[in-house]
Amino acid sequence: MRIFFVFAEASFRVQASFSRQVFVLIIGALINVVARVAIWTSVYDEQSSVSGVELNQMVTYSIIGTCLLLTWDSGLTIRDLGAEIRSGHIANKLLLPYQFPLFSLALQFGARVHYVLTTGLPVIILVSLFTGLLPPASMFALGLFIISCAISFAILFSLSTIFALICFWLFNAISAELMLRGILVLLSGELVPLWFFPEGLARVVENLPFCWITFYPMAIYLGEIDHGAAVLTVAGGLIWVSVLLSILFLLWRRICQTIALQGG
Amino acid sequence: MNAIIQTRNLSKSFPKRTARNWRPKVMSGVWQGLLMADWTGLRQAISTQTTNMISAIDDVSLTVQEGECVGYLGPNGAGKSTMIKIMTGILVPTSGSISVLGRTPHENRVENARQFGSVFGQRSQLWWDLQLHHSFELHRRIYGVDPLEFRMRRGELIEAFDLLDILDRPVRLLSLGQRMRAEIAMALMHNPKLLFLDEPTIGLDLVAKDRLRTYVRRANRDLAVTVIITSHDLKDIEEVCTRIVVVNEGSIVFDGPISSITAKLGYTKKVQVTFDRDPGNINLLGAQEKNASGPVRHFLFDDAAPSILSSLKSLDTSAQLVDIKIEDPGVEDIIRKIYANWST
Repeated sequence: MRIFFVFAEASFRVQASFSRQVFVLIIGALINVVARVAIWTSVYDEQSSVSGVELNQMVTYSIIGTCLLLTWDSGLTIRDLGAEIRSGHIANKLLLPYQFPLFSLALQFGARVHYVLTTGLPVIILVSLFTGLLPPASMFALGLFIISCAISFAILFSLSTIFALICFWLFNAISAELMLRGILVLLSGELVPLWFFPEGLARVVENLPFCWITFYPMAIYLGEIDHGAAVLTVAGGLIWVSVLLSILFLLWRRICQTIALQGG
Repeated sequence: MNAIIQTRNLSKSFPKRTARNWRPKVMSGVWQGLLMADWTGLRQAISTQTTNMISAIDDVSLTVQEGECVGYLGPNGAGKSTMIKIMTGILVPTSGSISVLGRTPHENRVENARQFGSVFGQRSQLWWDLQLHHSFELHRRIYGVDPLEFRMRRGELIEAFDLLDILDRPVRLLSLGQRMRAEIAMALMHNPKLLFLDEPTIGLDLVAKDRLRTYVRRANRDLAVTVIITSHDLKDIEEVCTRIVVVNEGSIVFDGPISSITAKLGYTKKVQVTFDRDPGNINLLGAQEKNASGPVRHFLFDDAAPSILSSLKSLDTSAQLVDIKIEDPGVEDIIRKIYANWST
């Protein structure tokens, strides 16, 4: 675990070494948030509530979902790892005295912490000055929300590493990246919460791991899931984390046996 | 002395898939497969590729003792890098056994990685976007080196590899020579018993190469690190290594001290004879002539030949001798000779 945080810190430092990128990231996140808030405002069109969800809840959902529980960085992971697999530079990472999947998770974790601290939180604060940002439904909801955020990161990072490892067979990351990105935008609830899904689709999606990335943490934050169900939801998330981590490590064991490193 | 690396009948082959053309035969294969319920035959018939196994390492048995400095050498595609990857545990051999630092490397990759250092010339292990000293500090924490012990060692290595002025620079801004020095210094910072260098001088200029060789020699002699080095630059091997292993097509063709390779392969002396004019067809006893025209002639004498002088004395030509140069052939000449023999 100690080494996990060493790698996370290294990744944080790498991000921090590009200090000038922060302004660009903030502007990008701002545009993203403002666009989503504007879309939801026009969707609601003077109605205070749609499907039992109020506009200010939807605005809060969009802001926090975009700044804290985002999914786009998974594409970067797949692209970076895919490029390393293609060029064979991955060999260097394998020479480290550490399990490669954990190394990859640590890098993503460090980069995400950097993003949240330098971009996510400032944008949340900035936007909340102009729109009403709802506080957590209760202290209990806040507590579960924090745990859900950890689950969200764990699920997203293991998914992206699993998809990146598929590049050992495909040797081309773009297809894997596009596929995961499509799945995540739709099924994580990042763009549209499950509340607005057609009944049948929602039944299926609510049991897949993806909606633990954005939808469930936000539903818990807003108090849309009552206490008992929220605890069960968190438990379900933990089960998914362990399932995905197991898949990741099994996949890794298999790759280690059959690996062909590129580039001499 | 203890064996630090030991391989027994080690082999590694890779599947090589080639696309197959769609032929009319395929249909008959499919019918036959269906009719006879021969599923393997059916699969082969409809498969669009054929798979051949390409052997990269073939039955290699090698022992390296602690403290040795071994040059692992061979033409492109001879299986050098594959061997290093198996030794470091990032590739799994197809058959045979291997033990590095007393463990099977691919089964104990993480434990072994703590005890060896490695530098792959074409790839960087430094953190590309961070200042060099951050890479060193991260390295210390990743390898769990005691801070006090680390500080001493770091100081020594920074001095030996002349890194003081570049510690604050991001790695991406270092020149290739500076970076390679830093790579090797970092690979030694956790006090490894074993150092793998895969093409460490690739792309370096002559001065940088020279310095690097000095450092590697020093690591081997003063710090008692066992070194395995692969290189295309034979000077690397000649100046740094005590033992040389030559491989071709996955098998070892020579293994021994550098001094014995010349004796073993027969050619010991290279003689350049200058005449005042073209002597025409001449014959030197016990020598092999390399070029047979012009006033300057080159000959190779092997061990069994009579003395060079007596052979020159018996030279039957009207042309006058102007100059004679006798030199020991370098390892480079010998290896070139070996490679040339292979390719014909």
